Amino acid sequence: MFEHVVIGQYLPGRSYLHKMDARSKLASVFLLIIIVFMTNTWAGYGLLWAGAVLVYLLSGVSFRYIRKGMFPIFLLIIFTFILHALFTQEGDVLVSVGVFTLYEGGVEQGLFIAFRLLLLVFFTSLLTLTTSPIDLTDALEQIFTPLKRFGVPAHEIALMMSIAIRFIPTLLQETEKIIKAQSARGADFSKGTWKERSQAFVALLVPLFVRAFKRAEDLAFAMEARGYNGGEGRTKLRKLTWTLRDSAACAAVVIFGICLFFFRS
Amino acid sequence: MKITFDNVHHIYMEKTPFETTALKDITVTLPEGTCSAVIGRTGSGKSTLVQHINGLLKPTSGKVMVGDQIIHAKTKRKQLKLLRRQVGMVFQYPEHQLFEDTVEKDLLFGPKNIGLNTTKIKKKLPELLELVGLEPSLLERSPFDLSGGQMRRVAIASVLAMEPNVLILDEPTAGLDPKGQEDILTLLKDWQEKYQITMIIITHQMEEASRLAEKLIVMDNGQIAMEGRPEDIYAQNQMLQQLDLDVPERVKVLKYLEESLGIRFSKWSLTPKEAASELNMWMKKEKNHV
Ligand SMILES: Nc1ncnc2c1ncn2[C@@H]1O[C@H](COP(=O)(O)OP(=O)(O)OP(=O)(O)O)[C@@H](O)[C@H]1O
Ligand SMILES: [Mg+2]
Repeated sequence: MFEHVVIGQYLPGRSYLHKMDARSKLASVFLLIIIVFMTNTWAGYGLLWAGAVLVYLLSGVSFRYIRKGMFPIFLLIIFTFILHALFTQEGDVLVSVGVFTLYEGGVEQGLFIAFRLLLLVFFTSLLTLTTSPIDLTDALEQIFTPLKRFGVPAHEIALMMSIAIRFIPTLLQETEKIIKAQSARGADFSKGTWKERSQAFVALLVPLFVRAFKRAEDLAFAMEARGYNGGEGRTKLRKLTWTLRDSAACAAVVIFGICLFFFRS
Repeated sequence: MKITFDNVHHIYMEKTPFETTALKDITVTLPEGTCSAVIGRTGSGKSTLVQHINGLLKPTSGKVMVGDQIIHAKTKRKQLKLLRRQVGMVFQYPEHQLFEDTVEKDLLFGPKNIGLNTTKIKKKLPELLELVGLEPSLLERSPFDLSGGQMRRVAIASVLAMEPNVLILDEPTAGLDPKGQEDILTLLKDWQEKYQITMIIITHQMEEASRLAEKLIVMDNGQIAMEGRPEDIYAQNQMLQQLDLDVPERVKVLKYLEESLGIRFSKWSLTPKEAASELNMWMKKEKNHV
Protein backbone atom coordinates (compact mmCIF):
# COMPACT_ATOMS: atom_id res chain seq x y z
CA MET A 1 0.00 0.00 0.00
CA PHE A 2 2.87 2.34 0.82
CA GLU A 3 5.15 0.77 -1.67
CA HIS A 4 5.44 4.04 -3.53
CA VAL A 5 6.60 6.36 -0.79
CA VAL A 6 10.15 7.20 -1.71
CA ILE A 7 10.92 10.57 -0.15
CA GLY A 8 13.61 10.00 2.42
CA GLN A 9 13.81 6.33 1.62
CA TYR A 10 17.20 4.72 1.87
CA LEU A 11 18.21 2.05 -0.63
CA PRO A 12 21.06 -0.05 0.69
CA GLY A 13 23.86 -0.57 -1.84
CA ARG A 14 27.59 -0.65 -2.44
CA SER A 15 28.15 2.15 -4.94
CA TYR A 16 30.67 4.97 -4.76
CA LEU A 17 28.05 7.26 -3.27
CA HIS A 18 26.97 4.65 -0.74
CA LYS A 19 30.53 4.24 0.45
CA MET A 20 31.09 7.97 0.92
CA ASP A 21 31.05 9.52 4.39
CA ALA A 22 27.68 11.13 5.18
CA ARG A 23 29.45 14.38 6.11
CA SER A 24 31.13 14.71 2.74
CA LYS A 25 27.86 13.92 1.01
CA LEU A 26 26.06 16.58 3.02
CA ALA A 27 28.79 19.10 2.28
CA SER A 28 28.77 18.23 -1.42
CA VAL A 29 25.01 18.53 -1.69
CA PHE A 30 25.17 21.86 0.11
CA LEU A 31 27.79 23.13 -2.35
CA LEU A 32 25.82 21.75 -5.28
CA ILE A 33 22.74 23.63 -4.13
CA ILE A 34 24.72 26.87 -4.06
CA ILE A 35 26.06 26.09 -7.51
CA VAL A 36 22.56 25.40 -8.82
CA PHE A 37 21.35 28.77 -7.58
CA MET A 38 24.42 30.55 -8.93
CA THR A 39 24.00 29.25 -12.46
CA ASN A 40 22.14 31.48 -14.91
CA THR A 41 23.13 30.49 -18.43
CA TRP A 42 22.14 27.69 -20.79
CA ALA A 43 25.72 26.44 -20.94
CA GLY A 44 25.86 26.39 -17.17
CA TYR A 45 22.72 24.31 -16.90
CA GLY A 46 24.01 22.01 -19.62
CA LEU A 47 27.11 21.35 -17.54
CA LEU A 48 25.04 20.90 -14.38
CA TRP A 49 22.87 18.27 -16.06
CA ALA A 50 26.01 16.51 -17.24
CA GLY A 51 27.24 16.58 -13.64
CA ALA A 52 23.91 15.25 -12.44
CA VAL A 53 24.10 12.33 -14.86
CA LEU A 54 27.60 11.55 -13.65
CA VAL A 55 26.50 11.57 -9.98
CA TYR A 56 23.53 9.41 -10.92
CA LEU A 57 25.84 6.88 -12.57
CA LEU A 58 28.01 6.84 -9.43
CA SER A 59 24.99 6.15 -7.23
CA GLY A 60 23.96 2.83 -8.74
CA VAL A 61 20.32 3.68 -7.96
CA SER A 62 17.77 2.56 -10.52
CA PHE A 63 16.15 5.47 -12.31
CA ARG A 64 12.67 4.31 -11.29
CA TYR A 65 13.33 5.42 -7.72
CA ILE A 66 14.43 8.87 -8.70
CA ARG A 67 11.43 9.23 -10.95
CA LYS A 68 9.14 8.14 -8.13
CA GLY A 69 10.81 10.56 -5.72
CA MET A 70 10.47 13.40 -8.19
CA PHE A 71 6.88 12.75 -9.09
CA PRO A 72 5.20 14.56 -6.17
CA ILE A 73 6.97 17.82 -6.98
CA PHE A 74 6.51 17.51 -10.70
CA LEU A 75 3.22 19.38 -10.64
CA LEU A 76 4.81 22.15 -8.60
CA ILE A 77 7.58 22.48 -11.16
CA ILE A 78 5.18 22.65 -14.08
CA PHE A 79 3.09 25.20 -12.22
CA THR A 80 6.05 27.50 -11.48
CA PHE A 81 7.22 27.14 -15.07
CA ILE A 82 3.86 28.28 -16.38
CA LEU A 83 3.69 31.20 -13.94
CA HIS A 84 7.13 32.44 -14.87
CA ALA A 85 6.63 31.92 -18.56
CA LEU A 86 3.37 33.88 -18.56
CA PHE A 87 4.24 36.76 -16.29
CA THR A 88 7.81 37.64 -17.21
CA GLN A 89 7.81 40.16 -20.01
CA GLU A 90 11.36 40.36 -21.33
CA GLY A 91 12.99 39.86 -24.70
CA ASP A 92 11.27 39.11 -28.01
CA VAL A 93 7.68 38.00 -28.31
CA LEU A 94 7.52 34.29 -29.16
CA VAL A 95 3.78 33.71 -29.59
CA SER A 96 0.69 35.58 -28.67
CA VAL A 97 -2.66 33.86 -28.08
CA GLY A 98 -5.56 36.05 -26.99
CA VAL A 99 -4.63 37.91 -23.83
CA PHE A 100 -1.55 35.74 -23.27
CA THR A 101 1.76 36.73 -24.74
CA LEU A 102 4.79 34.50 -24.40
CA TYR A 103 8.13 36.29 -24.25
CA GLU A 104 11.50 34.72 -24.86
CA GLY A 105 12.76 35.94 -21.48
CA GLY A 106 9.75 34.42 -19.73
CA VAL A 107 10.28 30.98 -21.21
CA GLU A 108 13.96 31.16 -20.32
CA GLN A 109 13.18 32.25 -16.77
CA GLY A 110 10.58 29.52 -16.38
CA LEU A 111 12.92 26.85 -17.66
CA PHE A 112 15.73 28.00 -15.39
CA ILE A 113 13.50 27.90 -12.34
CA ALA A 114 12.19 24.47 -13.34
CA PHE A 115 15.77 23.24 -13.82
CA ARG A 116 16.73 24.57 -10.43
CA LEU A 117 13.91 22.80 -8.66
CA LEU A 118 14.51 19.59 -10.57
CA LEU A 119 18.22 19.61 -9.83
CA LEU A 120 17.62 20.40 -6.15
CA VAL A 121 15.23 17.51 -5.72
CA PHE A 122 17.49 15.29 -7.79
CA PHE A 123 20.59 15.88 -5.66
CA THR A 124 18.79 15.70 -2.33
CA SER A 125 16.95 12.51 -3.38
CA LEU A 126 20.27 10.93 -4.27
CA LEU A 127 21.60 11.96 -0.87
CA THR A 128 18.77 10.30 1.03
CA LEU A 129 18.62 7.30 -1.30
CA THR A 130 22.29 6.47 -0.70
CA THR A 131 22.73 7.49 2.95
CA SER A 132 21.21 5.61 5.85
CA PRO A 133 19.16 7.94 8.06
CA ILE A 134 21.34 7.09 11.05
CA ASP A 135 24.50 8.20 9.26
CA LEU A 136 22.74 11.31 8.09
CA THR A 137 21.71 12.40 11.59
CA ASP A 138 25.16 11.55 12.96
CA ALA A 139 26.67 13.76 10.30
CA LEU A 140 24.21 16.57 11.06
CA GLU A 141 24.96 16.29 14.75
CA GLN A 142 28.67 16.64 14.10
CA ILE A 143 28.18 19.57 11.80
CA PHE A 144 26.01 21.36 14.36
CA THR A 145 28.19 20.53 17.38
CA PRO A 146 30.29 23.74 17.11
CA LEU A 147 27.04 25.71 17.45
CA LYS A 148 26.48 24.25 20.93
CA ARG A 149 28.39 27.20 22.33
CA PHE A 150 25.59 29.45 21.12
CA GLY A 151 22.96 27.33 22.82
CA VAL A 152 21.96 25.17 19.84
CA PRO A 153 21.00 21.76 21.30
CA ALA A 154 22.80 19.78 18.58
CA HIS A 155 22.53 16.41 20.26
CA GLU A 156 18.86 16.77 21.10
CA ILE A 157 18.00 17.92 17.59
CA ALA A 158 19.85 14.95 16.14
CA LEU A 159 18.15 12.61 18.57
CA MET A 160 14.73 13.98 17.70
CA MET A 161 15.47 13.57 14.03
CA SER A 162 16.73 10.03 14.36
CA ILE A 163 13.75 9.01 16.47
CA ALA A 164 11.38 10.60 13.97
CA ILE A 165 13.13 8.87 11.09
CA ARG A 166 13.24 5.60 12.96
CA PHE A 167 9.48 5.66 13.47
CA ILE A 168 8.42 6.61 9.96
CA PRO A 169 8.37 2.98 8.77
CA THR A 170 6.64 1.94 11.98
CA LEU A 171 3.97 4.55 11.49
CA LEU A 172 3.50 3.54 7.88
CA GLN A 173 3.16 -0.10 8.89
CA GLU A 174 0.72 0.85 11.58
CA THR A 175 -1.27 2.95 9.12
CA GLU A 176 -1.39 0.08 6.70
CA LYS A 177 -2.51 -2.30 9.43
CA ILE A 178 -5.27 -0.02 10.68
CA ILE A 179 -6.45 0.69 7.14
CA LYS A 180 -6.70 -3.05 6.62
CA ALA A 181 -8.47 -3.60 9.93
CA GLN A 182 -11.03 -0.87 9.29
CA SER A 183 -11.51 -1.97 5.67
CA ALA A 184 -12.29 -5.41 7.02
CA ARG A 185 -14.98 -3.68 9.10
CA GLY A 186 -16.40 -2.23 5.90
CA ALA A 187 -14.79 1.23 5.98
CA ASP A 188 -14.11 2.60 2.54
CA PHE A 189 -11.20 5.01 2.17
CA SER A 190 -11.40 5.68 -1.52
CA LYS A 191 -15.04 5.62 -2.53
CA GLY A 192 -18.24 7.02 -1.13
CA THR A 193 -19.49 10.45 -0.17
CA TRP A 194 -17.37 12.99 1.66
CA LYS A 195 -19.16 12.15 4.86
CA GLU A 196 -18.46 8.44 4.56
CA ARG A 197 -14.87 9.04 3.67
CA SER A 198 -14.21 11.46 6.50
CA GLN A 199 -15.72 8.92 8.88
CA ALA A 200 -13.32 6.33 7.52
CA PHE A 201 -10.42 8.71 8.12
CA VAL A 202 -11.48 9.34 11.70
CA ALA A 203 -11.44 5.57 12.14
CA LEU A 204 -7.85 5.63 10.87
CA LEU A 205 -6.49 8.72 12.59
CA VAL A 206 -7.79 8.17 16.11
CA PRO A 207 -6.16 4.76 16.59
CA LEU A 208 -3.02 6.00 14.84
CA PHE A 209 -2.61 8.93 17.24
CA VAL A 210 -3.51 6.87 20.27
CA ARG A 211 -0.81 4.38 19.34
CA ALA A 212 1.74 7.05 18.50
CA PHE A 213 1.33 8.78 21.88
CA LYS A 214 1.43 5.46 23.66
CA ARG A 215 4.59 4.58 21.84
CA ALA A 216 6.23 7.92 22.57
CA GLU A 217 5.44 7.47 26.24
CA ASP A 218 6.83 3.95 26.29
CA LEU A 219 9.99 5.09 24.55
CA ALA A 220 10.50 7.94 26.99
CA PHE A 221 10.06 5.61 29.96
CA ALA A 222 12.38 3.03 28.44
CA MET A 223 15.09 5.63 27.81
CA GLU A 224 14.78 7.06 31.28
CA ALA A 225 14.81 3.61 32.85
CA ARG A 226 18.09 2.94 31.10
CA GLY A 227 19.59 6.12 32.44
CA TYR A 228 19.54 8.32 29.37
CA ASN A 229 20.27 11.90 30.33
CA GLY A 230 21.23 13.86 27.25
CA GLY A 231 24.27 14.08 25.04
CA GLU A 232 26.86 14.97 27.68
CA GLY A 233 29.70 12.46 27.62
CA ARG A 234 27.99 9.99 25.28
CA THR A 235 30.14 7.96 22.93
CA LYS A 236 29.10 6.61 19.56
CA LEU A 237 28.72 3.00 18.54
CA ARG A 238 29.20 3.81 14.87
CA LYS A 239 31.97 6.11 13.74
CA LEU A 240 31.89 8.07 10.51
CA THR A 241 35.16 7.72 8.62
CA TRP A 242 36.45 10.27 6.14
CA THR A 243 38.52 8.67 3.39
CA LEU A 244 40.34 9.71 0.26
CA ARG A 245 37.13 9.03 -1.62
CA ASP A 246 35.42 11.82 0.31
CA SER A 247 38.20 14.35 -0.15
CA ALA A 248 38.22 13.55 -3.86
CA ALA A 249 34.45 14.01 -4.15
CA CYS A 250 34.43 17.32 -2.28
CA ALA A 251 37.38 18.59 -4.30
CA ALA A 252 35.61 17.62 -7.51
CA VAL A 253 32.49 19.51 -6.46
CA VAL A 254 34.53 22.60 -5.57
CA ILE A 255 36.37 22.53 -8.89
CA PHE A 256 33.06 21.99 -10.68
CA GLY A 257 31.69 25.04 -8.90
CA ILE A 258 34.65 27.20 -9.86
CA CYS A 259 34.36 26.13 -13.50
CA LEU A 260 30.67 26.93 -13.50
CA PHE A 261 31.37 30.32 -12.02
CA PHE A 262 32.99 31.33 -15.31
CA PHE A 263 29.83 30.38 -17.19
CA ARG A 264 27.81 32.99 -15.34
CA SER A 265 26.63 35.90 -17.38
CA MET B 1 -18.67 -20.84 2.48
CA LYS B 2 -16.02 -23.07 1.05
CA ILE B 3 -12.64 -21.42 0.52
CA THR B 4 -10.21 -22.63 -2.08
CA PHE B 5 -6.70 -21.41 -2.84
CA ASP B 6 -5.56 -22.38 -6.29
CA ASN B 7 -1.86 -22.03 -6.99
CA VAL B 8 -1.59 -18.74 -5.13
CA HIS B 9 1.64 -16.76 -5.03
CA HIS B 10 2.07 -13.50 -3.20
CA ILE B 11 5.03 -11.17 -3.57
CA TYR B 12 5.28 -8.04 -1.42
CA MET B 13 6.77 -4.92 -3.01
CA GLU B 14 7.34 -6.60 -6.32
CA LYS B 15 10.13 -5.21 -8.48
CA THR B 16 11.92 -3.35 -5.69
CA PRO B 17 15.03 -4.34 -3.75
CA PHE B 18 12.66 -5.08 -0.84
CA GLU B 19 10.80 -7.76 -2.78
CA THR B 20 9.71 -10.68 -0.55
CA THR B 21 7.92 -13.77 -1.71
CA ALA B 22 5.52 -14.42 1.14
CA LEU B 23 3.44 -17.20 -0.45
CA LYS B 24 4.56 -19.80 -2.95
CA ASP B 25 2.30 -22.13 -4.82
CA ILE B 26 -0.46 -22.43 -2.24
CA THR B 27 -3.22 -24.87 -3.14
CA VAL B 28 -5.57 -25.77 -0.32
CA THR B 29 -9.25 -26.07 0.51
CA LEU B 30 -10.89 -24.96 3.74
CA PRO B 31 -14.14 -26.85 4.16
CA GLU B 32 -17.43 -25.06 4.79
CA GLY B 33 -18.88 -24.77 8.26
CA THR B 34 -15.82 -26.01 10.11
CA CYS B 35 -12.89 -24.51 11.93
CA SER B 36 -9.44 -24.67 10.37
CA ALA B 37 -6.24 -23.58 12.07
CA VAL B 38 -3.21 -22.12 10.33
CA ILE B 39 -0.06 -22.68 12.30
CA GLY B 40 3.63 -22.06 11.67
CA ARG B 41 6.56 -20.09 12.92
CA THR B 42 6.83 -16.36 12.72
CA GLY B 43 7.21 -14.98 9.20
CA SER B 44 5.96 -18.16 7.56
CA GLY B 45 3.17 -16.33 5.75
CA LYS B 46 0.13 -17.07 7.89
CA SER B 47 -1.23 -13.53 7.99
CA THR B 48 -0.52 -13.05 4.32
CA LEU B 49 -2.46 -16.21 3.53
CA VAL B 50 -5.62 -15.29 5.40
CA GLN B 51 -5.69 -11.68 4.21
CA HIS B 52 -6.41 -13.07 0.75
CA ILE B 53 -9.73 -14.44 1.93
CA ASN B 54 -11.46 -11.08 2.17
CA GLY B 55 -9.47 -9.46 -0.59
CA LEU B 56 -7.30 -7.24 1.59
CA LEU B 57 -4.47 -8.71 -0.41
CA LYS B 58 -4.78 -9.97 -3.93
CA PRO B 59 -2.73 -12.87 -5.23
CA THR B 60 0.23 -11.93 -7.41
CA SER B 61 -0.73 -14.99 -9.42
CA GLY B 62 -3.24 -17.79 -8.97
CA LYS B 63 -6.71 -17.36 -7.57
CA VAL B 64 -8.72 -17.63 -4.39
CA MET B 65 -12.34 -18.72 -4.38
CA VAL B 66 -14.64 -17.81 -1.51
CA GLY B 67 -18.04 -19.36 -2.04
CA ASP B 68 -18.68 -18.49 -5.66
CA GLN B 69 -16.57 -15.33 -5.69
CA ILE B 70 -13.18 -15.39 -7.30
CA ILE B 71 -10.27 -13.17 -6.29
CA HIS B 72 -7.31 -12.89 -8.61
CA ALA B 73 -4.69 -10.27 -9.42
CA LYS B 74 -7.07 -8.15 -11.49
CA THR B 75 -10.19 -8.28 -9.31
CA LYS B 76 -11.74 -4.81 -8.94
CA ARG B 77 -12.28 -3.16 -5.58
CA LYS B 78 -16.00 -2.94 -6.13
CA GLN B 79 -16.35 -6.68 -6.40
CA LEU B 80 -14.63 -7.02 -3.05
CA LYS B 81 -17.34 -5.13 -1.23
CA LEU B 82 -19.72 -8.05 -1.17
CA LEU B 83 -16.89 -10.21 0.08
CA ARG B 84 -16.15 -7.88 3.00
CA ARG B 85 -19.77 -8.22 4.00
CA GLN B 86 -19.44 -11.97 4.34
CA VAL B 87 -15.93 -12.38 5.64
CA GLY B 88 -15.15 -10.98 9.08
CA MET B 89 -11.56 -10.56 10.09
CA VAL B 90 -10.07 -10.05 13.53
CA PHE B 91 -6.49 -8.84 13.25
CA GLN B 92 -3.52 -9.43 15.48
CA TYR B 93 -3.98 -7.06 18.44
CA PRO B 94 -7.45 -5.98 17.28
CA GLU B 95 -7.79 -3.56 20.22
CA HIS B 96 -5.59 -1.17 18.23
CA GLN B 97 -8.45 -0.51 15.86
CA LEU B 98 -10.90 0.85 18.45
CA PHE B 99 -11.62 4.53 17.92
CA GLU B 100 -15.16 5.60 18.81
CA ASP B 101 -16.01 7.40 22.04
CA THR B 102 -18.28 4.66 23.31
CA VAL B 103 -18.11 0.89 23.07
CA GLU B 104 -21.58 0.85 21.55
CA LYS B 105 -20.60 3.10 18.66
CA ASP B 106 -17.52 1.05 17.99
CA LEU B 107 -19.54 -2.13 17.88
CA LEU B 108 -21.93 -0.54 15.38
CA PHE B 109 -19.18 0.79 13.10
CA GLY B 110 -18.84 -2.39 11.05
CA PRO B 111 -22.55 -3.23 10.75
CA LYS B 112 -23.29 0.35 9.67
CA ASN B 113 -20.56 0.31 7.04
CA ILE B 114 -21.86 -2.82 5.40
CA GLY B 115 -25.44 -1.59 5.52
CA LEU B 116 -26.99 -3.83 8.14
CA ASN B 117 -30.05 -2.73 10.07
CA THR B 118 -28.42 -0.96 13.01
CA THR B 119 -31.53 -0.60 15.16
CA LYS B 120 -31.96 -4.35 15.12
CA ILE B 121 -28.32 -4.95 15.91
CA LYS B 122 -28.33 -2.34 18.65
CA LYS B 123 -30.90 -4.39 20.53
CA LYS B 124 -28.69 -7.45 20.33
CA LEU B 125 -25.57 -5.70 21.63
CA PRO B 126 -26.04 -6.39 25.38
CA GLU B 127 -26.42 -10.06 24.58
CA LEU B 128 -23.33 -9.98 22.39
CA LEU B 129 -21.27 -8.31 25.11
CA GLU B 130 -22.35 -10.93 27.59
CA LEU B 131 -21.37 -13.60 25.15
CA VAL B 132 -17.81 -12.27 25.00
CA GLY B 133 -17.78 -12.10 28.78
CA LEU B 134 -18.38 -8.39 29.39
CA GLU B 135 -20.96 -6.46 31.39
CA PRO B 136 -23.64 -4.89 29.16
CA SER B 137 -23.16 -1.70 31.19
CA LEU B 138 -19.83 -1.22 29.40
CA LEU B 139 -21.72 -0.13 26.27
CA GLU B 140 -21.70 3.49 27.39
CA ARG B 141 -18.03 3.51 28.41
CA SER B 142 -15.15 4.73 26.30
CA PRO B 143 -13.22 1.82 24.80
CA PHE B 144 -9.98 3.52 25.84
CA ASP B 145 -10.86 3.20 29.53
CA LEU B 146 -11.02 -0.58 29.37
CA SER B 147 -8.31 -3.04 30.33
CA GLY B 148 -6.32 -4.76 27.59
CA GLY B 149 -8.32 -7.97 27.89
CA GLN B 150 -11.62 -6.12 27.83
CA MET B 151 -10.55 -4.14 24.77
CA ARG B 152 -9.68 -7.38 23.01
CA ARG B 153 -13.15 -8.72 23.73
CA VAL B 154 -14.82 -5.56 22.47
CA ALA B 155 -12.73 -5.71 19.30
CA ILE B 156 -13.71 -9.32 18.68
CA ALA B 157 -17.35 -8.48 19.40
CA SER B 158 -17.15 -5.62 16.89
CA VAL B 159 -16.43 -8.15 14.16
CA LEU B 160 -18.98 -10.67 15.42
CA ALA B 161 -21.59 -7.89 15.29
CA MET B 162 -21.23 -7.92 11.51
CA GLU B 163 -22.56 -11.49 11.54
CA PRO B 164 -20.00 -12.86 9.08
CA ASN B 165 -20.37 -16.20 7.34
CA VAL B 166 -16.64 -16.63 7.42
CA LEU B 167 -14.68 -15.56 10.48
CA ILE B 168 -10.92 -15.17 10.37
CA LEU B 169 -8.91 -14.61 13.52
CA ASP B 170 -5.23 -13.71 13.47
CA GLU B 171 -3.78 -14.85 16.80
CA PRO B 172 -6.81 -13.78 18.82
CA THR B 173 -5.25 -14.74 22.15
CA ALA B 174 -1.77 -13.24 21.71
CA GLY B 175 -0.67 -11.38 24.81
CA LEU B 176 -3.53 -12.48 27.07
CA ASP B 177 -3.26 -14.35 30.35
CA PRO B 178 -4.06 -18.10 30.33
CA LYS B 179 -7.56 -17.56 31.72
CA GLY B 180 -8.29 -14.89 29.10
CA GLN B 181 -6.96 -17.13 26.33
CA GLU B 182 -9.15 -19.98 27.48
CA ASP B 183 -12.26 -17.76 27.67
CA ILE B 184 -11.76 -16.38 24.19
CA LEU B 185 -11.20 -19.79 22.64
CA THR B 186 -14.32 -21.14 24.32
CA LEU B 187 -16.50 -18.28 23.16
CA LEU B 188 -15.19 -18.59 19.61
CA LYS B 189 -15.81 -22.30 19.55
CA ASP B 190 -19.35 -21.80 20.88
CA TRP B 191 -20.05 -19.10 18.30
CA GLN B 192 -18.77 -21.26 15.50
CA GLU B 193 -20.89 -24.21 16.56
CA LYS B 194 -23.98 -22.10 17.13
CA TYR B 195 -23.96 -20.38 13.73
CA GLN B 196 -22.15 -23.11 11.80
CA ILE B 197 -19.86 -20.54 10.20
CA THR B 198 -16.55 -21.24 8.51
CA MET B 199 -13.80 -20.22 10.92
CA ILE B 200 -10.09 -19.85 10.33
CA ILE B 201 -7.80 -19.21 13.24
CA ILE B 202 -4.10 -18.38 13.12
CA THR B 203 -2.00 -19.43 16.02
CA HIS B 204 1.51 -20.16 17.19
CA GLN B 205 0.39 -22.77 19.63
CA MET B 206 -0.50 -26.34 18.75
CA GLU B 207 -2.37 -26.44 22.02
CA GLU B 208 -4.77 -23.80 20.78
CA ALA B 209 -5.12 -25.28 17.31
CA SER B 210 -5.93 -28.66 18.77
CA ARG B 211 -8.75 -27.20 20.84
CA LEU B 212 -10.66 -25.72 17.95
CA ALA B 213 -9.72 -27.02 14.59
CA GLU B 214 -10.95 -29.89 12.54
CA LYS B 215 -8.31 -29.16 9.97
CA LEU B 216 -4.73 -28.03 10.46
CA ILE B 217 -2.60 -26.21 7.92
CA VAL B 218 1.05 -25.99 8.83
CA MET B 219 2.94 -23.25 7.01
CA ASP B 220 6.66 -22.99 6.56
CA ASN B 221 8.54 -20.40 4.58
CA GLY B 222 5.56 -19.37 2.44
CA GLN B 223 4.52 -22.91 1.61
CA ILE B 224 2.18 -25.44 3.09
CA ALA B 225 4.31 -27.97 4.91
CA MET B 226 1.50 -30.19 6.15
CA GLU B 227 -2.27 -30.20 6.06
CA GLY B 228 -4.94 -32.51 7.26
CA ARG B 229 -6.80 -33.71 10.32
CA PRO B 230 -5.08 -32.96 13.62
CA GLU B 231 -4.75 -36.70 14.40
CA ASP B 232 -2.83 -37.31 11.19
CA ILE B 233 -0.58 -34.35 11.81
CA TYR B 234 0.23 -35.34 15.38
CA ALA B 235 1.37 -38.68 14.05
CA GLN B 236 4.16 -37.02 12.07
CA ASN B 237 6.24 -36.24 15.09
CA GLN B 238 9.56 -35.81 13.35
CA MET B 239 8.28 -33.41 10.75
CA LEU B 240 6.63 -31.32 13.47
CA GLN B 241 9.87 -31.05 15.38
CA GLN B 242 11.66 -29.83 12.27
CA LEU B 243 9.11 -27.02 12.09
CA ASP B 244 9.62 -26.06 15.75
CA LEU B 245 6.15 -27.33 16.58
CA ASP B 246 5.19 -29.78 19.21
CA VAL B 247 2.31 -32.16 19.75
CA PRO B 248 0.14 -30.53 22.44
CA GLU B 249 0.72 -31.78 25.97
CA ARG B 250 -2.93 -32.66 26.26
CA VAL B 251 -2.75 -34.91 23.21
CA LYS B 252 0.44 -36.51 24.48
CA VAL B 253 -1.33 -37.46 27.68
CA LEU B 254 -4.34 -38.87 25.83
CA LYS B 255 -2.05 -40.82 23.52
CA TYR B 256 -0.15 -42.21 26.45
CA LEU B 257 -3.37 -43.33 28.15
CA GLU B 258 -4.57 -44.99 24.95
CA GLU B 259 -1.33 -46.88 24.59
CA SER B 260 -0.99 -47.96 28.17
CA LEU B 261 -4.64 -48.66 29.05
CA GLY B 262 -6.16 -49.56 25.73
CA ILE B 263 -8.93 -46.97 26.05
CA ARG B 264 -10.17 -45.13 22.90
CA PHE B 265 -11.00 -41.43 23.30
CA SER B 266 -13.71 -39.93 21.10
CA LYS B 267 -11.45 -37.15 19.77
CA TRP B 268 -8.10 -35.47 20.40
CA SER B 269 -9.59 -32.08 21.11
CA LEU B 270 -11.08 -33.08 24.47
CA THR B 271 -10.74 -30.63 27.32
CA PRO B 272 -9.20 -32.12 30.46
CA LYS B 273 -12.67 -32.27 32.02
CA GLU B 274 -14.19 -34.11 29.08
CA ALA B 275 -11.25 -36.47 28.99
CA ALA B 276 -11.61 -37.19 32.68
CA SER B 277 -15.29 -38.02 32.28
CA GLU B 278 -14.60 -40.32 29.34
CA LEU B 279 -11.91 -41.99 31.38
CA ASN B 280 -14.36 -42.37 34.25
CA MET B 281 -16.99 -43.96 32.04
CA TRP B 282 -14.42 -46.31 30.60
CA MET B 283 -13.22 -47.34 34.02
CA LYS B 284 -16.78 -48.07 35.13
CA LYS B 285 -17.34 -50.16 32.01
CA GLU B 286 -14.11 -52.08 32.60
CA LYS B 287 -15.15 -52.78 36.16
CA ASN B 288 -18.46 -54.23 34.99
CA HIS B 289 -16.62 -56.46 32.55
CA VAL B 290 -14.48 -57.82 35.30
N1 LIG C 1 3.32 -5.34 4.33
C1 LIG C 1 4.41 -6.07 4.05
N2 LIG C 1 5.34 -5.59 3.23
C2 LIG C 1 6.43 -6.32 2.93
N3 LIG C 1 6.69 -7.55 3.38
C3 LIG C 1 5.81 -8.10 4.21
C4 LIG C 1 4.61 -7.38 4.60
N4 LIG C 1 3.91 -8.17 5.44
C5 LIG C 1 4.63 -9.31 5.58
N5 LIG C 1 5.76 -9.27 4.84
C6 LIG C 1 6.75 -10.35 4.73
O1 LIG C 1 6.10 -11.53 4.29
C7 LIG C 1 6.52 -12.67 5.03
C8 LIG C 1 5.33 -13.34 5.67
O2 LIG C 1 4.75 -12.46 6.63
P1 LIG C 1 3.44 -12.78 7.45
O3 LIG C 1 3.07 -11.55 8.18
O4 LIG C 1 2.43 -13.37 6.54
O5 LIG C 1 3.96 -13.88 8.48
P2 LIG C 1 3.21 -14.55 9.71
O6 LIG C 1 3.31 -16.00 9.49
O7 LIG C 1 1.86 -13.95 9.87
O8 LIG C 1 4.14 -14.13 10.94
P3 LIG C 1 3.73 -13.80 12.46
O9 LIG C 1 3.51 -15.10 13.13
O10 LIG C 1 4.95 -13.11 12.99
O11 LIG C 1 2.54 -12.92 12.44
C9 LIG C 1 7.55 -12.16 6.01
O12 LIG C 1 8.82 -12.45 5.47
C10 LIG C 1 7.34 -10.69 6.09
O13 LIG C 1 8.57 -10.02 6.27
MG1 LIG D 1 0.97 -12.68 11.39
